[in-house]
Amino acid sequence: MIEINNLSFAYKKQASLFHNLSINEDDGQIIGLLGKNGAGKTTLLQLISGLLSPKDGQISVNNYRPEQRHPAFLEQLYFVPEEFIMPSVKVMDFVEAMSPFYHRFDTTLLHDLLKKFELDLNKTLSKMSHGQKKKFRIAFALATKCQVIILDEPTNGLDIPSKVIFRQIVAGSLEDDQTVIISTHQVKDVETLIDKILLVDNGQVIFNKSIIDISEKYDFKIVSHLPSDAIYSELNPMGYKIVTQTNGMSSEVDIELLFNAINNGITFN
Amino acid sequence: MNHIFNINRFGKLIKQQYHLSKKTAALTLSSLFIVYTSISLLVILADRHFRADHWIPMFIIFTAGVAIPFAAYGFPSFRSKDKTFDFILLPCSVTEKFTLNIIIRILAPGLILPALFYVSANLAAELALWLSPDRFLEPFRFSILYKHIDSDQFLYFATAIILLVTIIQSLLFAGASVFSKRPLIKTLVIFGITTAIVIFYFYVIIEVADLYKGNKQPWFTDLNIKETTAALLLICIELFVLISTWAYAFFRVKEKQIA
Repeated sequence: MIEINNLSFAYKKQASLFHNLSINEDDGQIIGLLGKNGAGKTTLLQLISGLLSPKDGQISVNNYRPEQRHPAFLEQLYFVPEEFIMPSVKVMDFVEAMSPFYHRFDTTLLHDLLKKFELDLNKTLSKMSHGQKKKFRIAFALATKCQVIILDEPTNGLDIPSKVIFRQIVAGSLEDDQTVIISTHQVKDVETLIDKILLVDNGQVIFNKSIIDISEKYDFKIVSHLPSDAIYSELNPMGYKIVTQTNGMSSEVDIELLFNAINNGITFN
Repeated sequence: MNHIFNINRFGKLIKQQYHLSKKTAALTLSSLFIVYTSISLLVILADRHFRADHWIPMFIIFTAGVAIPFAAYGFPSFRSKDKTFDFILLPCSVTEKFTLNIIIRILAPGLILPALFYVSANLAAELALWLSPDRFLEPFRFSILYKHIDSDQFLYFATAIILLVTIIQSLLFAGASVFSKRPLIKTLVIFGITTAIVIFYFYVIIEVADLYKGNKQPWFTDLNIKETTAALLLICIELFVLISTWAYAFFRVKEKQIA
């Protein structure tokens, strides 16, 4: 359970990034944290994980205050940042060193995920490419079985086949009590994966809805002629990408289109 | 208490450090052994009459030359934002992480470096005697270091000296928790400025305020206390400085943020 109440935060000598931000999220979801560059996605993730302390307001994750960095809280959280340094040790040495800290760590799952990502246990981490290192961190994060897994721009640096595998393994390796927050601006990479969209802009959550809710209320389609009932449209090589009110049938949500529509001031109730 | 210090978790942290640093540690110690032995051999060969006292400056330079920068570059995770990230999120308490850094950066060098020097110096001495058996050469013994200390007050003075060395290491170690880039130089500059201010303060109160006016002796120059009491007082002051330095470094680590 992630509860954020009236959060305010500003970096030193900078304008306020968040002001009275409030979010309430239940367990067992894959949340897509979206937003433009500089919207504060990474900062919000760092506040949730206790890497930063709020200036005002409260954050509670599974009833822990993240900024207190309680070891029991840290055991329940794994964060894969966008950029990171891996030590100059073999994969198996890293696993042996780090896995004991996570009491639900699943070694069998890790081996399975490494196999899917075609990673060798005997390879030295620092000698891997950025994409390989990222795949390893994602696999390790999922194997920890932590209740909260944070992935900041996880698909940056992954090749196309790896992005497909990424979506498959995230969807297939989670327990019911696990929450995954994926921050990305490459919305296409997580389109079929996320349960909920959280959109931040100017220090506020401007959109917070489940994919099911959206798909039940709105249609996302490509048409050759622009209909008059389109809530939002974009030119497309095949005509127009449009959003309309649904006529009862749920459709697949085009997150990129939804994102652009919200950023252009369209309100989705 | 479990969230402040847990022995099982601390054990995991030690094992983690072993798994991640065993190669670097083995390489560093091997290199130091070779450097210590080679330089000791060169110094011995340059002097046909090598007395035991000659080992003292070598011992101080060799051990301090490694222990000082090693302490000053404590908390290696703070040298980069990415490593700080992993340090903060590692599921251990700040007390456990801090204690491990104290052990690795301050206490372990205090035991390992003298032992390494002992082995290297004696190996160099054996090699020198093998190369030219007719030379005069007194081997290195730890007793050389404390033979000048009065045996009655040995315990007090040895404690005071060990504490002084630990304080120097700890000040540099505290600097490492503050400065992420060039902590050794920055800490030495801050230390130098502080020392200059203290000296200036004493200059002002003694010279400008003219405390010795009319051959009068200020009260603090005539306390008439025993050597043992003085040593005890020094130990108390040193303990206070040491604890304060560690407390300062601890809170710096506790409040560390990624930004």
